[in-house]
Amino acid sequence: MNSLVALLIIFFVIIGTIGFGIFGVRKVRMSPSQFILGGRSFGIIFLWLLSAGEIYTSFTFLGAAGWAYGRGAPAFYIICYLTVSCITLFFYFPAIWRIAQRHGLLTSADYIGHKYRSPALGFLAALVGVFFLIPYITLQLTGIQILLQIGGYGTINSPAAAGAAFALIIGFVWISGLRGAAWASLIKDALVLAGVIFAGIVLPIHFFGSPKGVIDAVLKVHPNWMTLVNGTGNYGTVWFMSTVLLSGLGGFMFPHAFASNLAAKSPDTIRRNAMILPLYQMMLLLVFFAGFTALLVHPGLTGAAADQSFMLVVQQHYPPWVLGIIAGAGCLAGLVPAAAQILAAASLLSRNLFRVREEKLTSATRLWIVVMAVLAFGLWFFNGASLVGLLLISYSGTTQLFPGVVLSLRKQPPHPISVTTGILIALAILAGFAFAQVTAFYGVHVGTVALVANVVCLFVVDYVMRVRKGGSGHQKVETEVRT
Amino acid sequence: MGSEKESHDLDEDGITVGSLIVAAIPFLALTVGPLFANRLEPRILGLPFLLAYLVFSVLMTPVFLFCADRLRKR
Repeated sequence: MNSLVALLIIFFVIIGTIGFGIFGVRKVRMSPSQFILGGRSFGIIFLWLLSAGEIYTSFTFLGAAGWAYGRGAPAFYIICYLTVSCITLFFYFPAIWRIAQRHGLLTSADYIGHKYRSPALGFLAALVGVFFLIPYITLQLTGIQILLQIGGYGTINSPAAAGAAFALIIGFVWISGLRGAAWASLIKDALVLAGVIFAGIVLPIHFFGSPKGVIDAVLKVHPNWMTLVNGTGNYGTVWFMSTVLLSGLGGFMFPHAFASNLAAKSPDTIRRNAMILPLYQMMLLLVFFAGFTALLVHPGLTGAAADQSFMLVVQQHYPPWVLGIIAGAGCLAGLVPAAAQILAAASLLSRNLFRVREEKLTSATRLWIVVMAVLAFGLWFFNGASLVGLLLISYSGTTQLFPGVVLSLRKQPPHPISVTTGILIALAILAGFAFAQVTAFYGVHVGTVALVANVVCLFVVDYVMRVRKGGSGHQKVETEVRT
Repeated sequence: MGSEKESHDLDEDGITVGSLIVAAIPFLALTVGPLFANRLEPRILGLPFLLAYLVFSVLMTPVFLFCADRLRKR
């Protein structure tokens, strides 16, 4: 009975949101630019909704609480990195937006390939974009499965249920494209906000009198939980700083995040969004409180199971309708970003890896949406990493595009070969670390180690090529033609 | 050096040294700051010092970015 109430509420929340998203785009003709970028017409409200919608994923909802529960202070990196992303976005993205708009570029790989006049580099960027987006999509599926499992009180086959929810969202993005995802974000953000306020304010007050009370209580049991512990190698101060830097610089290199900013109406919209987006991070503070509360009320979860922390508390101490609403919000937090991510990956595949012609682009992208979904679902089946663990794999790879993207805006951009070498070296280093199952090198996040190697290699190769060409520099990579 | 006047991607944004310096403050506060802020005491509004410091830096970022925006040449 309990499970029926909770699952029915989850079901109606998902169906209602999808219906709302489709209603929002009912009269829109789906040209490729409309399907992939919402016709580049998003004003500040839509852009903010979409960016916030993409950032607040299963990871925020469960993963951040899971880390607050399982590790303590290292989880604080999550409120820092997006802010760092916004600070850099403010400076480099308006210029990229203008170039993309002038030349009809639709994806991140379009931009890189065009700016460096190197289809090969564009191809590599698309490959990196798709490959490292898959763990992020896997993360959403893991989150949805956890929520359905808890919402079903253990009575349903949760992988099958998660698969069904995933199929629904694929159908949704197939029909409505990026604009539909932005509409769906409207409902999703409102519900997630309600869920997070409940989890981060109501739970601590219920059990400990106030959010401050939770912190005091945690410190009594775990005196080191609120500060970074050095000396143990991983998750010390150096790890924290290097992870903030890595994730911060890479934040908007993700194909879906890049796309949502290209969908902005003007450069000013991007700048205004970058200014206000950090405020949204405060929601994470509440998620931490929820994780801390769960640590004391429901101790003993280890490893990836910590991601279930506060939902288990809700399940055990609140009526099924409360659980249904919160789990429904959580499912949306996984499904809506997954839709945007799959759309972005599919557009890279159809446009950059398989080079489909403009007239067929919308239908080809739709086909790849289905293929990507099946692929992500398959990989998810064989996975056991925690949510934050998955996210850090994604960021390690995706951030390697950052030097090439930003340096492309210099008066004399580096040679495409030097950018390519940098990315390849970084990927080789990441593969080596992954093979050795090392996540930190002298306390520094491996992704940051690879990023430093990437940049050093880029400059060395570029310098060598300049010297060999006889000082005056290589070909001018691009002279912009104004229309 | 004759092509100095040639139009350039970033020119239209009017980014100045001043705007970069102002934006660098929250950037460094979040990337380098934790090295100095990794402490429990003093607690601020019940939050441990490290968390309070990070929350404060994040909340101040829009203010700094707003100033950086004002410092652009338009």
